[in-house]
Amino acid sequence: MSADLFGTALTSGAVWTAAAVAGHFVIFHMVQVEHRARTLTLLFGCAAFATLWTCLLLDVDRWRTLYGMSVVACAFLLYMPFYYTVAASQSVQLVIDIHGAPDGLSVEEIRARYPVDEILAGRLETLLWAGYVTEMDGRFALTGKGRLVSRPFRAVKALWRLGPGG
Amino acid sequence: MKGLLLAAAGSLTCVLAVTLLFRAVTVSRRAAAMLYVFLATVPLYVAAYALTPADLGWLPDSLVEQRAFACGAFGLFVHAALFFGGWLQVYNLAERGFSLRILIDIDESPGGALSADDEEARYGGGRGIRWMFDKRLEGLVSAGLATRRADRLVATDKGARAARLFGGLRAFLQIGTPQ
Repeated sequence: MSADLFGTALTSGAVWTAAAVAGHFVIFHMVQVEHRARTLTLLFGCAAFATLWTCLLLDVDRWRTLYGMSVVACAFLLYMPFYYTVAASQSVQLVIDIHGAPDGLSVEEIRARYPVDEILAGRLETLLWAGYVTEMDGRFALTGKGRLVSRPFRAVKALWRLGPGG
Repeated sequence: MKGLLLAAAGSLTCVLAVTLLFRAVTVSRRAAAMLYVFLATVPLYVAAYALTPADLGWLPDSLVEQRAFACGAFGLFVHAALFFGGWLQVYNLAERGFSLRILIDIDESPGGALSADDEEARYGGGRGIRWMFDKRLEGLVSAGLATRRADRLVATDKGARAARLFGGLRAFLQIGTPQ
């Protein structure tokens, strides 16, 4: 077995991962994307497929092709938390707001900027839109998809004795 | 294949050790503790890689890499990705996830349904959403991103750098204020 095939597969995975990240920046900068997580997942999916295609083209065997695709999968695992920190972290938003105010912000001013009822209403709306909860008479209940997320994490919290958190 | 298999074994060892640690003692800085456990598994991985035969005693020749160093480095990358992108994120979500906490609160409520007002009060084991917000603010101070000055929170140099970086990325990627 040629040693080069291993390097070819890994390089292919790395190059297509870089292309996915570049594509993410270009697309999100040029277009207002509505389904951002789905788009990002699709981009990495395309990178995995492109790695597979490249390896087939270069006669890389299936196991080393799998290594190349593993590079894309691992990069996806690392990139998504980074992206969500940029896109959705409340702590990041707070530090941006504090930095943006010439004299900083008092806790009262921060609370006034982010009324808890509005934050909660916004998040419930997002969960409703994403199909994790359903609403009836002003009360929210979990859908099957919501339970599919909630139950494993309840088990993890119990196993690791994490307490309520949030 | 050896690198990949040892990475999988290292990752399982890591999560097992974390589980035992969290169940055995009360850990105050859990994310840091997880990181230390992961870092402890890295020399274990390297030692296991160096001390075991290239075919692990049972792999067919076709799965044995000739570039031992590259294969070992690849395995280490996979091990790190499984930790930082996997186990650590599972912890972060379980411990700090706002949406996840809402889902769990609804799931744990007696009738299986909550109004927005109920959730506001029940959030985080009955501590309420304001508690969550205060916890985030305290987190900024303890992480050195902000400091208190005359009852006001002011960004530190580190906080200013983070704000510029993340603010710039958000603007470039056209991401609005998160809710």
